[in-house]
Amino acid sequence: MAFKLNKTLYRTVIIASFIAVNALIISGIGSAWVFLNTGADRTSMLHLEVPMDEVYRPEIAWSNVDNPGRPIEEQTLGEITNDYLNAWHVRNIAFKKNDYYGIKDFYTDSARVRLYDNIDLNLKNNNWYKRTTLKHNGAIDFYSVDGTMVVFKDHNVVEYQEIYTGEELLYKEKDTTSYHVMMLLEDGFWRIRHLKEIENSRDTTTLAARNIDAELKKIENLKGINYYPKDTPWDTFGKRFDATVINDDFKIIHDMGLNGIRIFVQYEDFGKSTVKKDKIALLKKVLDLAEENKLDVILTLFDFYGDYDVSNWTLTNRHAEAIVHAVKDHPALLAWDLKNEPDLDLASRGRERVIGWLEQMMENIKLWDRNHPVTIGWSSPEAAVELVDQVDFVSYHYYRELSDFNKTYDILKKKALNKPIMLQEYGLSSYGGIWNFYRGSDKRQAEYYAEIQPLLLKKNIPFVAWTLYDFSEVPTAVVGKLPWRKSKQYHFGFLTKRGKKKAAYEHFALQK
Amino acid sequence: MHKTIYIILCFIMLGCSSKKEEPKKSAQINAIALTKKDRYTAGDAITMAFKTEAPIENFKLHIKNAYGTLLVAPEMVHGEMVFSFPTNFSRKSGLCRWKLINEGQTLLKGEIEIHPNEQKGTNMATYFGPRSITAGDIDYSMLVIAPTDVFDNPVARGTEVTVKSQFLASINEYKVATTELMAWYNVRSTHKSGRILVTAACNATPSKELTTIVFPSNSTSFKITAFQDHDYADGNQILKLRSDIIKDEFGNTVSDGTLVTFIIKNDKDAYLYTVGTTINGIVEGRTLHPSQAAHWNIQAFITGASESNSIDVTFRTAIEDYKVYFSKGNRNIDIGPLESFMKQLVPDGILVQMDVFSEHGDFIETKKTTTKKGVCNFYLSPEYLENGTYKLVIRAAGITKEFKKEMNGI
Repeated sequence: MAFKLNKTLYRTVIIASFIAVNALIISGIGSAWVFLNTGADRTSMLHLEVPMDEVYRPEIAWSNVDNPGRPIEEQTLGEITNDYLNAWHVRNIAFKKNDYYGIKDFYTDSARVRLYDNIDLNLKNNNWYKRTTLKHNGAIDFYSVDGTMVVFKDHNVVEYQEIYTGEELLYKEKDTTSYHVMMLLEDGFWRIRHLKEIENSRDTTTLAARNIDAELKKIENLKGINYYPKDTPWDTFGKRFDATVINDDFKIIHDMGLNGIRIFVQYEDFGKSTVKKDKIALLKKVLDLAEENKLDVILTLFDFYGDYDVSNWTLTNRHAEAIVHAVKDHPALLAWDLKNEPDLDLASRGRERVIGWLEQMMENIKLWDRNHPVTIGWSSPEAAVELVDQVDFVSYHYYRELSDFNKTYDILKKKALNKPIMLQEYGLSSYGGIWNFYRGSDKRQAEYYAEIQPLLLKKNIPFVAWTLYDFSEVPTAVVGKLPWRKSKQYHFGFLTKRGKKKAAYEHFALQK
Repeated sequence: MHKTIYIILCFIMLGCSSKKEEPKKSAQINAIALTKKDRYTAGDAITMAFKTEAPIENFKLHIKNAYGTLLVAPEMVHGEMVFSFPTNFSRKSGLCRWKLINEGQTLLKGEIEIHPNEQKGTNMATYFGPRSITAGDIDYSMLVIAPTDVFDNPVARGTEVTVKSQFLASINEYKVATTELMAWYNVRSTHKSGRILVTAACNATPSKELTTIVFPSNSTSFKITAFQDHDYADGNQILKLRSDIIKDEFGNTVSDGTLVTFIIKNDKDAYLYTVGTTINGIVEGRTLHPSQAAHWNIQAFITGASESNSIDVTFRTAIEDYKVYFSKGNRNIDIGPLESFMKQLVPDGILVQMDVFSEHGDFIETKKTTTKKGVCNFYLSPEYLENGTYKLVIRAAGITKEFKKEMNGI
């Protein structure tokens, strides 16, 4: 018996080692094969133009191109615009890194010396700058007959810069300056030859007065819900977009007696600085459906965006500009929500950086759309006092104990400068499981709404609850990976994953 | 046991406490600007003095011009806080903004204007183009003058610039004023072709010499004539076609190398052409005489510009007749000698063509050859052409001969 066992053992060992050796050989050949097939892509032989990443896209408009020299061709104007903005970009980068890199491509010999001197001094002082320009207004003065020189003015350039010493932010400023520029065409590049600061020209454009009273009135009476489709939460406009599903959901929301929804536009999903047309079409479709179901829409921008870096301001501006211009005249649009819970980024990204970004974005959106109020969805009543003088109405989220609700609301109300205050997110998860010691249940959720709804109605606080459905998937980007955080997120709905009414529904819906 | 719990609790509390950002205390810090001057000339030493009670270490002067930004640290001079501008700021004309900052707060701000320093001298940068233009009233070159001071600042608006231009005997002088960082002047083309030299001067500093070449304008109609050594169609002599001097509308001889195309139409309505380029306005085109009598109509063109008169040239036949000999069972055909107009042997290379047809007139093949020492030869190999009767049509120098022969043997 022992002998037989031994024999089987030997056999097994021999067969196993045979397989193992073969596997090793095959994987060895495989990795040699892979090694021989890696390296430069063959198309690199062709030296094709590498598409540039979008890195810097300030607004630029040429107001006047008539000049006594020669009519400027559209193509040339495009090249000049490109190289002029490149000149600004390499300069911004040079001042950020205190490095000459790229300067010589866009500044002539004598102009680049001035930049080098400045960089050297900054390096000596240990200062560096984060700079960007947001807006340019060009007007051609002169374009020479042989097409190698152009002189223009760049009026009222909106510049933003932060000055650092070492790691410390010393100073930040936003200002408007005007320049007189001469550029020469050298080796196929338009390079800056002269740059002279001149007086700003008075801005004579008259802006239409902001007209947001009707919307604010609506906001004061808003009773809504934060909306994601139940199968595609945090991905409303993704591949699985289904207008029928959304329409059905909107009907449900309308039948609940509500008059508004809050939806989210994700920065990357919509194509960052070059917003995708098909996404815009889907957004319009959702707004159309909302209109059909008599729902007003609060549109939250920049979801899942968290950089706020000065270098990216122009990119985020182009993103917002495209979306605002696309839907600002849509009747279903009620208000712009700049960013969901930006206060959560204050600590990690730096207060100045986040607030600076919010301020300039708010200014822009107010400029692009004169007829809709702007708000920021702060994550707590304490944070909601930020920028209270600039938002049109105050929005905050409340997920804490109901016993503190009145107190915190009253404190906020005192600081809110009489602006409407919206409870933009609130709710309770019905999750009961190991991660919260089995404390949650449908019943508790129902009790929560039974308590808060009469309070909100009595105090006439506009509200937007979280959320319509329980979800079957929650992306990691929303609350992270930790199970005690994530598990809650599946169960905030008034309806189950299958669409059945949970107990809370009765206490929340206005028409039963 | 209790102690451990307390310690653990303390750690948890510490771990949970978050850093609160404290708003910066903004104690009232005052500073008074002592320097009132706000206009300087580039190259002046620029200093700004302030009076303050606060310690000066925290002050910085933030200065900004078109090329960049700088933070300047103060010095204490006679109880005043003094900031001195580095040369790359004090030498750059235009606006220079300053802000006195303390701990991120702007206390005072203002701007100074720095004017270009033209007293110390002027540098001239001139750009001239296009460097070649055509004679007439339409075209021009543009001279752009961007004078700068010694520190490379564009001179003040309205600075006078003198432009001089020379053409043949005349020298003209004009005055222009700088407008947008530069001054410009259009140098108009002349009716005569040649070279225009220009130069400019500003604040007595001259520029270098710049030049543009006035090329003749488009040619006008011209005349051609044909030259031939004899009028026989011998396929050997060269026909020369020559123009008179081709000129533009202002009487300038067209540029050397102007391409002229001679188009020849023969009496079969076929077109031949030859080209030539002008030297000193004259173009010569050459082509070979035909090898049979012909009548040519010739006209010359300068594409897109002008054309010549059309001329006629007639060629007499040079070869009256030739003989054909058959041998080797009629498979070997000797043609010639071909004799020209003085009974001399024709030059080598006269084309001889023979078409072979079957007995019933079906075309079989064409053979071509050229004469050498006045004669040429065809051999119809039995490998290709079986024994039998064939029709042979021989053409040379416009003379066609027809034979019906029976081929046999080798």
